[in-house]
Amino acid sequence: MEYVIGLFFGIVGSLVAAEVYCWAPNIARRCVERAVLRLPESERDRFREEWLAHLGECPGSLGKLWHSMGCLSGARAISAAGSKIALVRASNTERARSIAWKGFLTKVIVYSLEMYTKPAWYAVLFGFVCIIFGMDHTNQLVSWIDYVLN
Amino acid sequence: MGEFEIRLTGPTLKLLKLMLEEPAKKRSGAEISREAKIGSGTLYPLLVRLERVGWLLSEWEQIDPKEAGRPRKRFYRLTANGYNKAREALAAFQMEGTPAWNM
Repeated sequence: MEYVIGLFFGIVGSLVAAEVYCWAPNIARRCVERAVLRLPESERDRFREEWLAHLGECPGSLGKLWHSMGCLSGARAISAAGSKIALVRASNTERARSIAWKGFLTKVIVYSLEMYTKPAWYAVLFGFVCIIFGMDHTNQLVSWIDYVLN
Repeated sequence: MGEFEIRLTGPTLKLLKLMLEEPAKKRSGAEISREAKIGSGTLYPLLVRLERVGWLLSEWEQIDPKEAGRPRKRFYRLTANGYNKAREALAAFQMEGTPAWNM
């Protein structure tokens, strides 16, 4: 069963990775546009052009994504740089977000471990694998039951 | 240009060190990020701060974006004041007679 689960996560993981890789340049561009919206209006045109030029120079899809994520966090810092109050607020928000993220990731890890140890989830995962590969085990199961009963 | 305090963090020192290597050279954000190994999220707020205190000057690349088919880069260089301040700032980190920006 562990083999099946590994296979399932392997297939789904590689599919997701391939999709993300293909969409990364578009996602990165959207992130930059979103980052620009976080800036004061007077700064938007400048940084839109500057960050898109930088994006064009980033090698590879992951590099572009990394840059765009940086723009998102950088935009907050730039807009907060104007006043100390805003800076404190931004740092508090950043801290709250960081705590929330850590909590979320901890829950995902704990949940995944729990899921891995609960046999009921194996059936659910097995069902997903069957759906993905178009396998129908109902007939097989019925024939096994028939065989055992008879 | 106000007189704000510039906190001399690791990325700030890396940036100043890079800019002092060739003070007259104009560098784009991407170039600085690549050479100083500073991520965009840290680099751009830092560039804005240094520009606001008058240590850096920035200007657009002299191209027509439509002809070039790409957005213009923005180039940064040290001002005379920035050059002096950066040398002063890095002098505190001078080790064994070698200025930090030459290491």
